[in-house]
Amino acid sequence: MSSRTPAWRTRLIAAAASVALLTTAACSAATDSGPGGGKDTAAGPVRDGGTLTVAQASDADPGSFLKTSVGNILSEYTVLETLTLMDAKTGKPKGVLAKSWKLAPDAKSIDITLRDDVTFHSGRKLTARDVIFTLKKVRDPATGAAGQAIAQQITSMKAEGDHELKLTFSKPTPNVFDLFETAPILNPATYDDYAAGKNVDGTGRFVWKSWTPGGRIALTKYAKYRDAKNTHLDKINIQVINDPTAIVSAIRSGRVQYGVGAAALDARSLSKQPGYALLSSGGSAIPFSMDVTKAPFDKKEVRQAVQYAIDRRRIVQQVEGGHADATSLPWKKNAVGYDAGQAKHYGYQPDKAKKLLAKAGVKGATFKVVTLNTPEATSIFQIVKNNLAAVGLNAKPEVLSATEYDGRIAKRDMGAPAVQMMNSNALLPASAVTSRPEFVPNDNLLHVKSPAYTKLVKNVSDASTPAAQKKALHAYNAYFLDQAFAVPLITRPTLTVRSTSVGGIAPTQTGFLNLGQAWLSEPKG
Amino acid sequence: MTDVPLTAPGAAATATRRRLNPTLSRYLSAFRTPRGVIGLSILGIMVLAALLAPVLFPGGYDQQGSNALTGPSAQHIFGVDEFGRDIFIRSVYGLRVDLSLILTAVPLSMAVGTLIGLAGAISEWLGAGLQRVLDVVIGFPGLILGICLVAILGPGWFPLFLTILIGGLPTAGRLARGAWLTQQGREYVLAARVLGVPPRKLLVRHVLPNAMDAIVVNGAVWMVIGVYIEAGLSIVGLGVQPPTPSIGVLLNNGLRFVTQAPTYIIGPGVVLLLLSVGFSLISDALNEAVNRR
Repeated sequence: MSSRTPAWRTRLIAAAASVALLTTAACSAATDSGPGGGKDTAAGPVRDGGTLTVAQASDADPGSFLKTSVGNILSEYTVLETLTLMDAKTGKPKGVLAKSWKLAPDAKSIDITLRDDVTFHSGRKLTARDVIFTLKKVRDPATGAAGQAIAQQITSMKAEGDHELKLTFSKPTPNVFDLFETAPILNPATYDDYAAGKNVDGTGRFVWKSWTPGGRIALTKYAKYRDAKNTHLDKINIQVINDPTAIVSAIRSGRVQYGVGAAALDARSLSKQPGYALLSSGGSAIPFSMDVTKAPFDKKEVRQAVQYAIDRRRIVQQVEGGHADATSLPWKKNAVGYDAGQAKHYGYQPDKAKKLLAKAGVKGATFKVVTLNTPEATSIFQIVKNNLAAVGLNAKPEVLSATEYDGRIAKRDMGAPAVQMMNSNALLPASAVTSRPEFVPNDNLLHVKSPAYTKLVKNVSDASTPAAQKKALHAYNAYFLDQAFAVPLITRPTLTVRSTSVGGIAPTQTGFLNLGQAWLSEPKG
Repeated sequence: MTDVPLTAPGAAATATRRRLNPTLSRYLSAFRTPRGVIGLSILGIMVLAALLAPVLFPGGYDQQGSNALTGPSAQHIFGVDEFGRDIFIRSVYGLRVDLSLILTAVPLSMAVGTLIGLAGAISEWLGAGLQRVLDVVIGFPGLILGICLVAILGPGWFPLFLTILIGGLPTAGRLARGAWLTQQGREYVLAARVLGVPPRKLLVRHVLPNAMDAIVVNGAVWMVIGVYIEAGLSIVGLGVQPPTPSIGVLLNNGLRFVTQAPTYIIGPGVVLLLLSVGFSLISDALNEAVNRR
């Protein structure tokens, strides 16, 4: 007996100790996240020199620069350059390799003049033929390029001298700048070596020095860059850290100064501590999508009822921590023709939702809702489920991995209504309606198909003047909101966290990050 | 002349009970020790709370609100979660998931494992073969086994159930086979065979009772392990899916907000601790009872 009593006591003591440890850990964490937590988003002073170490969750994919592959999120625009880039504030193009351009009034051709002081890292001068080579690669379906749909509207590409070229299109193409944004100019002489990570020859501020698959990408300053005095760093090391939590730990420990791929919630938490700041980039619309051919969502009133039943503001506050917009439109606010009034169309009106359901004769329907297996997606689903239950609809989760989810999109059949993730809203409406699976008029993910819809899409994609774009988009939005097949719940930026010792990281419209003019306020290495 | 009883009536009744079912009586004696009483009380309260949850909290576990991540208060003793739901209510409903898993998967695992262990009585070849299969199962730690099953079946209650069931087979199988191998050389077993007692009767009447003590204690230990398997798999997002709560799911959610709302994990953490302590105390008490004879 005496030999057993201590074990019994030990167990109780261990239990008490565990409770105490939990409490202590909790109190300690509470202290860390106190009100002194940093709101500072500024970086330290600009200094030259040093090595910036950053992390990303995916390995590099240097054979896929035209696909906007996430593995190239930190290197693509740091090593390579595009003709133009969209200004995030104005939504208008700014020249990078293009010195000037003239889009025809009917948007059926564009004349481009290239800068004459651009050289590849190999020393060769950039010419119009390099641009034509790149655009041909974008047109090639085998490349799977992001700008393929727009590039296929090009009917001729003509170089006029070394630095001028003219593109003509089969139809008005005012969204040609979306094509330029996603088409970094490649070197035809070394392009075949890109996929192996060798001779990745670009015109950007940094030279692709080496790539250890699954491990590290090393970049060094391009000393002969046309504006080298504004390149501050000597080297950039991009570490591949697959685990999102480990990325946060690496930033917290100072092993890296910036990282992409961590969960937004972790990024938000770390950014509240002194010495760290959030960086917003890109953006996504997260719609609640419904197949218009599957009951009960084949009735417009049911789709509208679902949209009215969801409390978008709670998603913004409780899932996204306030870093999102409750909106009914999937476009960026700077899109020509964006209508703030239409964006507020689906406010939280559960009573109206109930009336619409009663009108449609739908009561107590039970259905699955597809959601990704990420904390953000499952959190949004929980609010949606709760809101739908309040109007008498019973949603059950069907949680998919990213591969299964992509497979359903590729098959053009989600199988059930979905909290649809991974929808960049970076593209202009004219590009989005002709490329995004939930918007395209043919082979539509949600089986939306009607002559009226096809005409509205055509009007948006063909509109060549701001007035025409505004009119076409307004008409499209009216139909889109009335049919309610893919109305966003929220739009939100991609949030990452950085040490305040690093500054000058420039996000592109598509959410990629240009480190070309980044700096370290306390240079190391 | 009247007959005088040799023992008191109560003592006679106890003796009769012992004679009728000595094994059960021995197990029940475990619950008269301090450990057994405390363990049974903890689990009793938890089982009662879990069973009565729909009566105690008719609003269910998914009553959301606009408040989020507030700490403990008189209204919400464990605080509220990121969707304004009461964490205490969710913990009680979460117990239903944990207890339904453990109280079904573990007994089934012990029963199937025992049958596998005793298969050698039917055929030596079959017994040895099944032991090799159990050797393979032992090679998979509970978490890895669970991850494999979730990869095949998708996340949810059933993969957790299978993980606990399959994970418990090797120990139960080995204990039963050990008892079989030990007993089969004994003289009473040889005598029974000579007398033509069929193998099934031999197993049920003679071998199984000798293996039972170890299997019962092992079952109680596996209930503790089952609690941690559920929590472990749910913490990495592979258990039951939200909004359905389980203790592991609550801890998973709480860990995500540990810097913003550190009290979130304390309530579910204490419930997990009590659940495992309850099962541990009962397994200790059972162990003590079976070793007392």
